[in-house]
Amino acid sequence: MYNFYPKKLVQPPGCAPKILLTMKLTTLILVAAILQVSASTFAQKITLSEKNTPLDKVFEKISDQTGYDFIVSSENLKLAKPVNVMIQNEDLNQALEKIFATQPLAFIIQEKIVVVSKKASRTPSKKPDDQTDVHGLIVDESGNPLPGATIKIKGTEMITMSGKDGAFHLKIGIANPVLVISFIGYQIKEYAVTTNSPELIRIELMPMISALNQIQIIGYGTTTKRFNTGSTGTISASDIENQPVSNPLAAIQGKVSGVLVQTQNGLPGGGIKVQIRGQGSLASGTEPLYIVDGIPFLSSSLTGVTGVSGANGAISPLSIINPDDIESINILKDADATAIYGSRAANGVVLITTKKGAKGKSSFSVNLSKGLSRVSRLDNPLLDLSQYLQLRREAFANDGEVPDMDSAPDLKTWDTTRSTNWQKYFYGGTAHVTNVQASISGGDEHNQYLLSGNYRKEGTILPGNESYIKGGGYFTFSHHSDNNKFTTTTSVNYNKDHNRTLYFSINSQDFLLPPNFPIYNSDGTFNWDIANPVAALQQHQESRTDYLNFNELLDYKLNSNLSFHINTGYNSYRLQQVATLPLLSQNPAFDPLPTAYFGDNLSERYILEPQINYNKTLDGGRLTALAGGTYQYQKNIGSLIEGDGVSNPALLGNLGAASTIVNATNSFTLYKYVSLFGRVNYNWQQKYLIDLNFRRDGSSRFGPNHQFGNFYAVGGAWIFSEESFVNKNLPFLSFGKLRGSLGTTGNDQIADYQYLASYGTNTIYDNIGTLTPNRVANPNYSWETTHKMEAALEIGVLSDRLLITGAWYQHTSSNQLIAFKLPVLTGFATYQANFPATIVNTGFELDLSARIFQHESFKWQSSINLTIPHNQLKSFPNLAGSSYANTYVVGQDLTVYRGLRFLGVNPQTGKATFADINHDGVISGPADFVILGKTSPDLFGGWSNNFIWKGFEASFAVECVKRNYPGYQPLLGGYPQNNPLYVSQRWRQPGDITDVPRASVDLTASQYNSSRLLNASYARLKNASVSYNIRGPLASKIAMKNFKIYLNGENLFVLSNKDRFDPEISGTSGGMPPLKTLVLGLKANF
Amino acid sequence: MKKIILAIILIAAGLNACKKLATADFPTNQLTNEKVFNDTTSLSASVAGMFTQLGTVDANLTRNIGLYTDELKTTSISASNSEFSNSNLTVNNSSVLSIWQNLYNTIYKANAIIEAMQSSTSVPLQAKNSALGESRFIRGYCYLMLTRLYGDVPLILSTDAQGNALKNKSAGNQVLAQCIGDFDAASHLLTSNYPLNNGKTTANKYGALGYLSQTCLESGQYMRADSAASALIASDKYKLLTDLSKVCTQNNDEAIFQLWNQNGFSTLNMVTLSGVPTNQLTSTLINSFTNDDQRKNAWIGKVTSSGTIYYFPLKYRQRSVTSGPLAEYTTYLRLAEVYLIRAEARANINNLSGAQNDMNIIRTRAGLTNLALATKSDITNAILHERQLELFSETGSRFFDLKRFGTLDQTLKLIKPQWKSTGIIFPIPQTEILNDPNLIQNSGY
Repeated sequence: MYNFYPKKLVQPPGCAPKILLTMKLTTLILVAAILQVSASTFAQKITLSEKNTPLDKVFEKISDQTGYDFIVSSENLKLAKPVNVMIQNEDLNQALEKIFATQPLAFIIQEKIVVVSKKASRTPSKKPDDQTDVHGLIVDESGNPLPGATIKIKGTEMITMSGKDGAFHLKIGIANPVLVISFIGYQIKEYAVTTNSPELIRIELMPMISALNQIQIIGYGTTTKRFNTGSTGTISASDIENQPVSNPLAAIQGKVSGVLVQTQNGLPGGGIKVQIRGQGSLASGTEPLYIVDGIPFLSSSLTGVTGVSGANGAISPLSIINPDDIESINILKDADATAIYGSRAANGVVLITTKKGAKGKSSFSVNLSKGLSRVSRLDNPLLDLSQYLQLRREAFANDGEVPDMDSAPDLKTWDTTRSTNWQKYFYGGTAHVTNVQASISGGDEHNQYLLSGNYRKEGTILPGNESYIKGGGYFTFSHHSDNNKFTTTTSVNYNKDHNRTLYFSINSQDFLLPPNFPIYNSDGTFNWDIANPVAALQQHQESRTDYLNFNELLDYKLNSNLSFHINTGYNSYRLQQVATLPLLSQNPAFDPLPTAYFGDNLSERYILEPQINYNKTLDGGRLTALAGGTYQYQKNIGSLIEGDGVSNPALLGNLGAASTIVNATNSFTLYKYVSLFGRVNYNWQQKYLIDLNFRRDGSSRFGPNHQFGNFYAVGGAWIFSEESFVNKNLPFLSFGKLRGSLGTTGNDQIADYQYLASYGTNTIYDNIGTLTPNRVANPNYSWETTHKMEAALEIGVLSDRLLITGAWYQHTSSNQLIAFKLPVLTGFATYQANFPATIVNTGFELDLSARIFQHESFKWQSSINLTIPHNQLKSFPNLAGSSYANTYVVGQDLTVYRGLRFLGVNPQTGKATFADINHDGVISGPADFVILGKTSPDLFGGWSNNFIWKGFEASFAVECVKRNYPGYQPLLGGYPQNNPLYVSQRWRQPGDITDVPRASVDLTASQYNSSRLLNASYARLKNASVSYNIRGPLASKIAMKNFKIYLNGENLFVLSNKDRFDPEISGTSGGMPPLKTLVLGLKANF
Repeated sequence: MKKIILAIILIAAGLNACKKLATADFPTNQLTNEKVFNDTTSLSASVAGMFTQLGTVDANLTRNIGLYTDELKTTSISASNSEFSNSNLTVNNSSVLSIWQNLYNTIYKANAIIEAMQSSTSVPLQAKNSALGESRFIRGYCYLMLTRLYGDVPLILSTDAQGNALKNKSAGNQVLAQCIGDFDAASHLLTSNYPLNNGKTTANKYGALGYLSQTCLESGQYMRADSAASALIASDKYKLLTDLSKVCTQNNDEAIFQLWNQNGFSTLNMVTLSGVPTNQLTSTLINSFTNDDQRKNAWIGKVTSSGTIYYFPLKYRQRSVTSGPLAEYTTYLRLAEVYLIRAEARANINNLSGAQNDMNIIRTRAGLTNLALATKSDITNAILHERQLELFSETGSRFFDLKRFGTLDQTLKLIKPQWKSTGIIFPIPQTEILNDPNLIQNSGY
């Protein structure tokens, strides 16, 4: 192709009109063609046979054969003579010399460009006061040409722009001109032209230090925040580093808009729920797709069917990953970013990328820290002993009943003078945390490596000797061939942990034990007047996890346009568990047996993803395209065995010692996945971007005729700040982008094999194993579909010191996969089927980041993110007749909370009164229930700050959530159980005006509790850190590059009302809240 | 560019051809239906699966029906329990649903085996007959219970769940006819051997005959009830135990059909370890016994707490897993009941002496004197009374007896203030009405 690009630019008066001509000779090469001709074509041997051929045509032919581009001005081209030449298989240089021998022109080969200029002999020699003829090339930091850069002559109005190859040509009427080169996203550079300057000036621009240039990992590629057409949130290693977390998911809490991260259990290994842009599914999983170095990772816990759930709940698989090995976490949200992951992307995608080696001298780094963890709040206000006893006595008196030993052991049997603070007893411990990280990395141009090891030990805040140990190693090695065409990257990660915790899960019900509850009877045995959680502390659970991740990336660059890429990997995750329940720990009234549970679960998968990448400068823009395929194989096997009747408690963990094996359950699922995907992205003049994504997926989760489906998205962006009219009118605007996207994704998080008619094993009958039909098979269901839509405005002002992004999204999820109700007379209650219910998640996300101070000595960076989500069940045919009748309401949030409407306490009787909605004279749910609200957040966000002053660095981050949740469920004296302090404001005598009903032994308190949806909003100081860095000469005195001492804190403080044990933990009884941790550490680089 | 698109289309086409890649192999812990029914071991495992399912029915059935009549009362307070105790059920009662659901679940399993056996060519005849016989026995039993409890019920005879989801009710006598057909077929398909481990935890020929006679009584076919019961008794395979305390022990001589359970003791709901019994026998029942009745001593437990005497059923003596080697199975059918069935059948065909003889066999075993009654109605009333004493707290037989003798209404009216005569059958569970548009609620609910 041969194109002229005349550019008319604003010319200063009196200046000779200049038409810059750049010529670019390239070929558009198609994928198939290149495979045939590549080897010979680019051997840089030239064969030509020309008679009276114009020079430009000859250039074109050479370019075709070599891939070299030519730069020549139209003026010079006019001087050219027709070419007559015979060249047989000669080098480029030899060939060009033959061609130029008869021309009044000369050539220089620079990189892959041939620059043509007038022969020196014909050009008047340069004089200081004469015209300067400047040929130049603008490239980026890695040597790629930058088209469209602005070149100004300092002190004049003269201006030009670099062409498609980054080349420019200026004739300047002044001596020793100074060029000022500016380009979007790059630092402005000045270049003084002197007589010593080379014929072709090569000017390298450095990227501007702007968050806009931050690399973002997206599906099967990378982009920058500037050019991203989709919605991606990025957490970098430096964000993770300041947080002493064990599970990397904890590090993203409150950091990314649209992403709600909630701790489900704060103990080591405990679950962390990540929800991206709301709940879009009624019955299937709402977990995002996790991908670690290109390999899909387990999204839900293996402690499901054949696991053992202990005090730390369902174990989060991601807790086995070492946060320090992570380079970045990218969260893909909208259609444009996620559609390339097709049927698994409806809930968003979390891409975890591990660190890689970098070239340079070997660098050795050690990071040691030690600290303490405690429960974030231990002062939840409860009744003290005398208030409690008074409540109980009042309850009996109010109802005219006499307490006896059965109904009131707390009043009749137990010592009413001794009191225990059960919060402190169960939760009051201090856990010691030790963390050691060491790594060595380095390499040269061709080989880079990184080897790291990690070790973490945590004690427990629970009573007893529980502990958590995690350790492992990570190794990655990259090799680039001599010609830089071939790259291979190998990464291996092995981690294991040993998690010793309680089997018995302590929650707020346990610290609501009556203050005078005696743990033991007078004879030293456990007191079982009521459930005894202290006895249950004898029940232990041990979990061991083994995690191996192997990843191999192969990349071959055929030429500057085309490359091949293969991602392949294997990962395995094994969870082995033992739970022991000694006889002593169980209530003898239920005739218990010493019992142990043995769970063993293995999940392994491998993946193969070949990919072709193509990029090309085309019509003044940049075209990037990729096509690839996936084959994924995943197998989960598990077993759970219950062994009863071990005589000696010391042998409880030994299955062989059990007298009976009561229940042996096994599970087996195989998941296969095959797909084809592609993307075409076109960036025209850094201004207009369009991005098309496609994926065709086949998943074994669906029946034989429903395995395949197509997913696609289109995204577009307009960087309007590049328009001259915007530049002129809004000079303060350094960046402005409007973007939008539209597309479909799917969700396949359901149980496997639902399409299959089969028999499975069941409990034994008369000593033989039985078989039972598994399900009503339905071969006709497929994935849930989510249509995603997004519009966003991104703005940068004051040279991008302040960046603002506002995004609006709407995700419409339909084709819901639910357990479709059958009348049970058919033999089964449900079968898996698609259901035409629709859920709409809309929301507004705001991201603000500012470099408030950026002096050499003091820097302050601050960022704010805010999300206002809205969730609605748009339609649900025949909701009233379904099993969801009491769960959902059409038109409401999926977390709709229904209960009785509380009308206050009757001042005469002290009883709670409620609205009789159906006017039947009886107050009972669900007939009298009204919508009291919802439990999903109305708003959530975070505020992060980072300060640097000389060697000191400090940071803090706050997370805020505004929402409602049911609180404590006080029994108002109806049962030997303590109550929150506000119960002391209860009704006591006729005439009392209060909101808290009278004490009563009649357990009608549950009606009162169901009517209370409380404010559970909170602001939590998620993390705070202070560090001091010793760098430079001082550090080298101690033979170090860098030495850092730091104090990092996590969950240090929470602001909320105290109607709940912890505002973050869901459920009314309250599990273990996130722990507050403070560690002191040092980090040294050698 | 065109070639890229072409390549994508080509690969897409290829991908469709490689559907195999997206098809998971059959899971190793499951069996296809064909495999289950081609192998005699897995076939008998699926037969045993039916019995496991049947065992889940009784967790609610015996106690709840006991509460519903004049046998039992409970200290355990729940919405469901108080509805049963008041004999005033609502359509949302959880036990009404679970009894229904477990019976129909069992029927599904039986139907699956019957369908497979009818088309199977690979299973040896003996194994096939045995599996078919057990399945038809189980199906017959489930429908007998269903129609006794719920009246007209849908007759599900296939595994087509989606099709059956729209079934409407069949008349009670049609359901009983199906039961008679199933038990009759089972009595021919099965032999006198018990197929599973040679214990009485599955049905044999005589179990089928026993229930055939019970069903025939229910549908008024007295001649047939008499002959089926006679065939059973004449086999001489079963003997009345002299030690009454052992009538529920495993594989005892009197037992005809029992259900196996894990820990060797029965019906946890009936068992109380210490203190005030959760489930107590009513004074109506206690006062029905004469003091010389051995059954009162052998089968009724007594505790005194705070000066009050509480009575509880003691047919099952094993109170916990750790209390000794005596293992008991849930006893569904024993010889004593077959005598009483034949007595009732004979009384109804005016063989009054034969009826009295059978009844007196049971009275003699209980240490009572023989009765010599003159009229048919005196004899049938005596049989009803004898059944009350002999079979209390056994799979709800009191309720069915009162219904069969037409005295339910008058009996419960006196002791249950909330009783309505429509209480003669349970309501159809409300969720079933919602999920099967053709199902009509029973009258009175």
